[in-house]
Amino acid sequence: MNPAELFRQQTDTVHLNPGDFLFREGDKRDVMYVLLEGEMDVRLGDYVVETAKEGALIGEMALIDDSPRCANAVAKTACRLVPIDKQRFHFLVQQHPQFATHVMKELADRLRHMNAAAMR
Amino acid sequence: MNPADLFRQETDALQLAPNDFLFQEGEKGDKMYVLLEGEVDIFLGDFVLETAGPGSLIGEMALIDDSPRTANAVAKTPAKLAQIDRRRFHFLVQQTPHFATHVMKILADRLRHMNAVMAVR
Repeated sequence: MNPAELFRQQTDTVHLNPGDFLFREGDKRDVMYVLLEGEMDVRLGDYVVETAKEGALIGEMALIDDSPRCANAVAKTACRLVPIDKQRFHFLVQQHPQFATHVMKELADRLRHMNAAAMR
Repeated sequence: MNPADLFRQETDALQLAPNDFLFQEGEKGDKMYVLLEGEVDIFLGDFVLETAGPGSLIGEMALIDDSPRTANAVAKTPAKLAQIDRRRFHFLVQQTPHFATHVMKILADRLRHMNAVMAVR
């Protein structure tokens, strides 16, 4: 599943230029994003955890557990993103179980990635 | 939400004695578990990532992304666990959105925990 397909027709998208921050560690915002175009670096301090590409979910953790942003998200190229607020997120989880399993897959992937990094 | 409440009536629960392995790193897993009673240690190598208590989900990652177990799970005390195979998992996600968001919460918690572990290094 590429979530970008679900949101392709979205009109209220966020546009970023290279170097723009989408959010910073510690920010309190309950919105997640689906990256429609471009690439974003997700950084933990100076460590690039991930370079997110088209279809990536960004910032879903703050939405899931109401906690502040735990990473910085910075546009690497020009980017276009769809914002998804909490209400819409829960609607998607209820109405599109494949969206729910996709979110789980993304989280599981990241966790495996972090576990592997921790073992090094 | 305490998932143990969803599975309290389970009749085919798995019983483990202390030090029994629930699963080992590298195994191909097609089940997840909900800990109903007891404690289970999750090891990454020699490092105890987590001591799971009643209500914990264990081994859900292999079910979500079809990959081998990434950790060892060993009973710390006598333990009783409900077993959930892939079919039932997807049924739960579809029929019980709270279950889906609970799984996400657990994964997010672990990820924050691992991020914190990495930040300390």
